[in-house]
Amino acid sequence: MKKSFLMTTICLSLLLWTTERGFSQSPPRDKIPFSTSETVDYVAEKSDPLIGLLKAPSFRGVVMRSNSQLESLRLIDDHVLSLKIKKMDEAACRQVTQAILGSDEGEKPAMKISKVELFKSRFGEACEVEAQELNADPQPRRFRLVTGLYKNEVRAFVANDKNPTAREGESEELRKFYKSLK
Amino acid sequence: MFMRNTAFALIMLFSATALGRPVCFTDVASYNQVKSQLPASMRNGAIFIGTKTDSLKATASIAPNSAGQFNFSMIYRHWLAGKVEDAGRIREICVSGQQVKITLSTGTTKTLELKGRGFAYQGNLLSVISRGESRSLTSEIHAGNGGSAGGSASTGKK
Repeated sequence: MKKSFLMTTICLSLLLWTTERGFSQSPPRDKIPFSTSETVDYVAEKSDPLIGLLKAPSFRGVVMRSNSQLESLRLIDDHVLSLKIKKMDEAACRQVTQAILGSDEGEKPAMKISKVELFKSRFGEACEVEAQELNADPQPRRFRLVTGLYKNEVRAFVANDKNPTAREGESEELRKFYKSLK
Repeated sequence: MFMRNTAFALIMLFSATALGRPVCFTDVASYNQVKSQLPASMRNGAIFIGTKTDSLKATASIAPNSAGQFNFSMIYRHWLAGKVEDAGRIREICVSGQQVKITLSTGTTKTLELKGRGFAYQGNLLSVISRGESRSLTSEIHAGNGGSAGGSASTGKK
């Protein structure tokens, strides 16, 4: 008698648990395609193709840095480019930026690059770019990009912000994120 | 003379359609010239689309801006990423048969496929909705009650 009561209670608890959790559970989380010492989450374009509707073909997904104090750096786009670059220098850095954000030359440039700076990382020379969207309506976006050769691939992380002026500590924090790659 | 010109125009229009030649436009002025050759869902000057998947709720629009060019805007709420907004200026739209090729000012080209009254993009069906429905969906996304999967709180905000 006591045993069957116990069994019924266990069964009922299990049923309640699956109803509450199992059926309304969130989709599985995507695997992060790189190693970092930061705590991040990742939404891959492969799982949700719609997130890449307006992105360049090199787009792979969105890195979520929920712990960041800077709103502009909480979501960062992850790009992997099939460019043949052996060493990251200023020219290569501009090439990566153009492949993601469009050209900054010609009659109708898509953006304007305002800063290109090289910095050292665990994976050799890396680069940071500041760029501004052009001819955008109603509000042009400001982009901050870090790129480098990560495990024999050209990888770039791109943050964007509608705020026209850079936020304090933004440049350092994005570089720190790139340097956290393992 | 009028009859001959009309017949010629009709033949030209028919041949272009029959051969599946793309109908392209770059701005409002060129759009108005080819509007009659476009599929019904693209003749209203702007397209509003909406969709829901297991992990996100999204609305997007292709609409002219004040400079007479077309913008492609999207807003979605993802169960994990939260609210995300994205936008781009359109350089050219070409319609060929069931395919709608959109080239953004960045040079990126995306292909949507006409599916009934909507569009398909890499396995996702985007329904054509009204401007009002799009506004309502946008408010839902902003309000944050669009979590279709009942997932965690939004952590990312752009």
